[in-house]
Amino acid sequence: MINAILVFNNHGKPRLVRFYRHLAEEAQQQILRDTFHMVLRRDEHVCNFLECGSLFGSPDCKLIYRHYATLYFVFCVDSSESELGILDLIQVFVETLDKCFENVCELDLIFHMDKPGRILGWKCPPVMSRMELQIAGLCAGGGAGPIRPSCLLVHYILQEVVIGGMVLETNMNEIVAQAEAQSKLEKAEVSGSVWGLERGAQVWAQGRLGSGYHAGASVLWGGGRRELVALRVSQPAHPQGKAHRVGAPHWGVQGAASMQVLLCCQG
Amino acid sequence: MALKMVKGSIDRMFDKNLQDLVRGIRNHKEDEAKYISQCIDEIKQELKQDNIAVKANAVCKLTYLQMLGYDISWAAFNIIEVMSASKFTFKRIGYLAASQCFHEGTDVIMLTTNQIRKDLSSPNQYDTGVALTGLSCFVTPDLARDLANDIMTLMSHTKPYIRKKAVLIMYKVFLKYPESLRPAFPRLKEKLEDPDPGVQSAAVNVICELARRNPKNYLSLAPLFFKLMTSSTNNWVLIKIIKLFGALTPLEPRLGKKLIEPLTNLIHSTSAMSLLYECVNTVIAVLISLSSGMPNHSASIQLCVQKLRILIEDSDQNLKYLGLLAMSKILKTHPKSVQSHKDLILQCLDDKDESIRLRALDLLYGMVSKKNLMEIVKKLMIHVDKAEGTTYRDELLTKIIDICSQSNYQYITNFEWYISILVELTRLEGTRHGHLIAAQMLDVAIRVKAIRKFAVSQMAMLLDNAHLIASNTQRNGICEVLYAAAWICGEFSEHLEEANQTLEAMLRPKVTTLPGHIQAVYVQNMVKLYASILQQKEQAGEKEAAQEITQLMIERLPQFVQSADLEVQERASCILQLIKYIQKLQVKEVPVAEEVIALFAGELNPVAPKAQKKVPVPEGLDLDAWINEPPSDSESEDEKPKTIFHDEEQRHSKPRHPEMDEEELARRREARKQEQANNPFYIKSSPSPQKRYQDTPGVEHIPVVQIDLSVPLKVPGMPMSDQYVKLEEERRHKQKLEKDKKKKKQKKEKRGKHHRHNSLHTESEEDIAPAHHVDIITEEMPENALPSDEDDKDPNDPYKALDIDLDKPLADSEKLPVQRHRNAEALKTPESEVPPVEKKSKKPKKKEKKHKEKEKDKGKKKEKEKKVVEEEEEEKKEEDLDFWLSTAPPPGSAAQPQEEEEEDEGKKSSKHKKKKHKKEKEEKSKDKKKSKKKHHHSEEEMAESVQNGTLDDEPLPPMSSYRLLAENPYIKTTYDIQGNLQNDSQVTVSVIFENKSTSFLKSMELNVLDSLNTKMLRPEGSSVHDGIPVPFQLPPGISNEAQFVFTLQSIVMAQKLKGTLSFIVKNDEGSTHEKLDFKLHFSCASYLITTPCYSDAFAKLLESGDLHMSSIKVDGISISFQHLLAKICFHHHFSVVERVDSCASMYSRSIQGHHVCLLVKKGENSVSIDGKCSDPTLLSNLLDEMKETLSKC
Repeated sequence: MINAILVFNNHGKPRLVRFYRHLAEEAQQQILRDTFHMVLRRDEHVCNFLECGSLFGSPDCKLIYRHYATLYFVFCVDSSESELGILDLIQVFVETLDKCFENVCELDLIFHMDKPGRILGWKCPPVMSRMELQIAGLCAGGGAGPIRPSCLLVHYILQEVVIGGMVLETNMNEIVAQAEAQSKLEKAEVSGSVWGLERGAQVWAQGRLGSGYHAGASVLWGGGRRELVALRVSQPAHPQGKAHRVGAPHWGVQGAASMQVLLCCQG
Repeated sequence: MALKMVKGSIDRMFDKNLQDLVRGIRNHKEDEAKYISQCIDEIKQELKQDNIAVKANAVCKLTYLQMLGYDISWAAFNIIEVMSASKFTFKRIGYLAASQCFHEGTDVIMLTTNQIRKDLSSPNQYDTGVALTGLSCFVTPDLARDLANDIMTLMSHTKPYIRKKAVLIMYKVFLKYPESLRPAFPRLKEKLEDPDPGVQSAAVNVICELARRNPKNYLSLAPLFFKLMTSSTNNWVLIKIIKLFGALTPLEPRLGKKLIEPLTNLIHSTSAMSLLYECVNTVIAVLISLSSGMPNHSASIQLCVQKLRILIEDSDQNLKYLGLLAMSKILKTHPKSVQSHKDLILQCLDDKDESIRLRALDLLYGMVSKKNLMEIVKKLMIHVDKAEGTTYRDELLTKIIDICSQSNYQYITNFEWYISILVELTRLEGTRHGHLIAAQMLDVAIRVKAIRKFAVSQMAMLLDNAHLIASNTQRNGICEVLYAAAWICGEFSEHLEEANQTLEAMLRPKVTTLPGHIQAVYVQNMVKLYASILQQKEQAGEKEAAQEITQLMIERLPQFVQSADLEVQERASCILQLIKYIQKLQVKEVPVAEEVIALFAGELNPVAPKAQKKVPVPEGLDLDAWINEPPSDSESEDEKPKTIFHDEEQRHSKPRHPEMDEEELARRREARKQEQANNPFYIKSSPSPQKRYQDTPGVEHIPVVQIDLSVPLKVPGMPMSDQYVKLEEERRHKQKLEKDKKKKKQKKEKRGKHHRHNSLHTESEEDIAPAHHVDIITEEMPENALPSDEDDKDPNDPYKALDIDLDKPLADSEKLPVQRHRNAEALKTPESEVPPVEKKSKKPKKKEKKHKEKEKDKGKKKEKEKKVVEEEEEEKKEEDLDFWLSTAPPPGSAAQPQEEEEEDEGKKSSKHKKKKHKKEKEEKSKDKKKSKKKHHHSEEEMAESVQNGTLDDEPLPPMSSYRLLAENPYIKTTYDIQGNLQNDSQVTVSVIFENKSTSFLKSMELNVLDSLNTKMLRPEGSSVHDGIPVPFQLPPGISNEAQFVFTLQSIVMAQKLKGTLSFIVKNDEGSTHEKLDFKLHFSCASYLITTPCYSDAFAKLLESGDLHMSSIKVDGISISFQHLLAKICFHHHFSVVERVDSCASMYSRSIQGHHVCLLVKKGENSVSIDGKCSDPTLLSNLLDEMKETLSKC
């Protein structure tokens, strides 16, 4: 049985905390801290096993961990798990994360091409790996909208690997396939609600600008709280009709103003 | 609609999403807590909104906060709301949050049962998957019980994705609801051969977990697993199975024999290190389980050790670690084969990796012998000096002590060396294990009598240098050794050379900075020292010196009297008084030493840690009984605190004991001995087989070997144990030479004489004789100690409940509970209270109906067969396993007997014949059993049907005791009257109001025209003409129940009361006032209360003769007697006392205590009822009512 899975960065900040036996929050944090200190003390080229003894109250408990750039992945297991097997499993888990996040990251890059080094408005310390950014929930995740940032996606992917402390699947392709199928399902639900948003934007644009304009709206990304709506407004009468972009994941002046207008119009 | 949506989306723009929260926390590093509490407030606002998206967003954020250590259990209900969202996106968020924070203590968790059941049966596999995943984390015993059947159904889902999840979650269900294991096990077993490798792996996983806890129940699966092992290519599955075999082999050595070959093959063939390692591990387990050697036994060991050496020498630290780990397992049974790799292991002690060093240390523990102990410990001591970090150093320290003290100091040949090692260890800075060293010092000094002199001298030195040890407050842990030092010096003060000096060291002012418990020991032991010095001086006639020492005590003791520690204070003040008294006597020149020394007379024997527990409780002793009844509260209040201190002071001033003369003391001692001899709780010092020198009165009788005093008397601070190593070497060399000489001289003389008589040291390493002839006193145990080792088992082990025999056939009562629609009406009939569980539980889904039904039938038959020939079946199973185990596995083939046979056909004919013969035999016997089974089966089925026929051939029609009161287009009212047990003149009328209209009914008021005998109970102050308002309103189509209490005087007659119900009908057109008249009928039966009665009491009642009798007869009754009785029971509130064929006696009691007895007889188409009752009117009325009821049948 796996007792717990912990992911934290080099500073001990938790990125994923998953206990398979109920513990009060304080106890969880204590274990997290203890584990961090134990793991931190260890050199790079020592073995990946640690006997944690009293950590979980049972002597039959071992920490198996791997360190990737800025992230530690720690599995607390008992003697029924094969040590080397779990090491492999961690590798599978991390590779799966890498695969699942890849697409998302491209999207991020598209949006923030103009601001190298700055992702979503705050300065990215150079030591921070891309993976950690995603796991930390600082990048948007899954492509299914901001309602589910990547820190939840990590949980969802983990749920395809381990449930209830037992290994569910070790085949990476299978894990990725299931995770993506569920992401798709979410996207489908989201686009359902997006349709209404698009219609609303069109209606607003036409009402606001008069019938002389032709408005086409498309939601680039939405479904959650903060939608990104691209509104293309053109005036057939004027050949130099302008195209506007409205709304943004962060409050651009133009976006905010337009959206507030939209709100007033509705109100 | 679309606009509304847009608006909702825009409203939501003002909330933070999770990403904003994460970023916000980053940006508020200085006041994170404040920022988060602000966010939590926002979240609370969001949770209040109706929009599920907003709620999901809030729960999302909570999940993140939970990870940071914030308690989010207050939002449990909102989490459930999000769980029940229809959208997968939200549902998933809800379940994730639930899996993070729900647990058995979450009270709202019971609200989730139906939601989870719904999700489990969702057509969308991912809804099901998410529910299963969530459930795996928060399943409670209640959820497990309610959902076990649903999850079990999912184990046969069409999608492997669901199947494997369901299989895994069953393990959690078993843990919480062990009763589900047996019914679910056949299906679980089936899943071992699922076409999908993922499902198969999950099933293996679950069974391995189960088997790890209770291996013996899963032994019968060994052939199946063996087959899997030889056929599977999935390393995960293989590892699990091999691990499982490792757990099974200790129970069945034959299994081990069978395993060796395929495992060895795997070891040679596999390239996966993980698999190789597990194979080696299991081979080791097999070898451990095999007590007697098999031909290639040592070859296998060699193979393992060789493979492990390769692992240990690998540059990969992980392999090195695991190699050492496995090596330590071999060590337990085959220490010789490991000991040859000592070099490698000692090398690992220098590894930079702590985990590896610790493993190597573990190995060392098992590798020491008399020969190499000193060498190994020397090496460890070097490591102790080098070690950085207290954890590892402490680990080293405990290991040194473990290694030396193992199996009763078996490997220590020179205890002086060991004491010096311990003394050296006290120089460790900042160790936490001072108490361990102290315990060792005490243990050695007490149990090795020969070493006491040396130990005392060393301890005296420690006390003298106490400032080194206790100087630094950080080194607090180590000052524990002073505890041991003080005690040893005090207790064995007769060995002390410079007792005066030691006493002075103990009286230094610095001592008062030590922890209280150590000071207490100091105080106690300085008196022992003082006593022995006193005796010494008196014997030598140095009276002045004796008085000086007394004076010293009196001067220095007050510093302890002032101690803040109560124990120290108490001891010190007591002793101070004592010594003052001694001083007085000394001034009078009375010899006191003898009496003072008598305070500490007698030897303290070591007692085994469990000794107290093992004292048997003598017969007739109830440990739970009160010795004195506990005083009542009032008494204890009366007791006022006495002036304890005053009294005590008085007592102090008159010490009595010096008055006792020697004779008196001796007499008392004798009396005490006598008492102890008769006292079963006193651990006597009678000789037990474990002890040898029990009765030697003093140390004088122990053959003390001369100790070279020039060596140990060194100033601590310099390592000296090394010298022992050298000395030891020299000594051994000398011994060897001597021996050689002896050998030459008396070659033929047997060596047995040179063996030590101490049987503990059975290992004959005769070339190393110990430096001292040392006797290690074993710890005492009470006589006839209970041989129980139960205390090792944890009674709260959750896995204990899963220790269930899985081979026993399933009983009907063990079927998993299935959700049923509740039939309210039917529930009220007593007969239908036991619902037909089985039938419903087997209701298959349409899709799989046919297939399942077949299966089910099979299962059913099997079950019944099993039931009948249970014993034979079990026998057979055993035979199967035996048969499987007895045949050697043909290399590479699956081990199923049938297959084996086929494959064997081409092999040696003799073997073949033999096998075939056996097989045939077995088949024959199987056939026999089968026919037997069939026979039994049909018989039983018949028996069952017969039984059923008499019980309930046709279901009872639904019965309701509610009768129609009145009805109009708006409302329908029904009522029921129940007697009130508590009050003999009251009945309760329950009225159900049902709104039949589409309007709203309100202001309902019920009024009754009271009669002389029967009155409605109205609230105080209202007149008899006021109605009672019904405490609710009725929306369209809704019904509700209200109760009204009536008082009555006589109950022998039925009553009818007229009444009116008034209410207001409110609909779109307005409201109208309506009335409904009714008649309330109080039948005599409604005054009866169903009371059970035993037949003997019933008989007495009938015999008593003060009952009036009456009878009726009703013709044309067609319903069965069973139903007839049920009707009487139900409508007339009777209970059946006894039933013989178609005749039954029944009993009931009225609220006013009238007994009513009935004898009901059924003839053909007629029923006669004889009644006896204490009131004739009541009886005749009751019978009339009964007649009416029956005539309706």
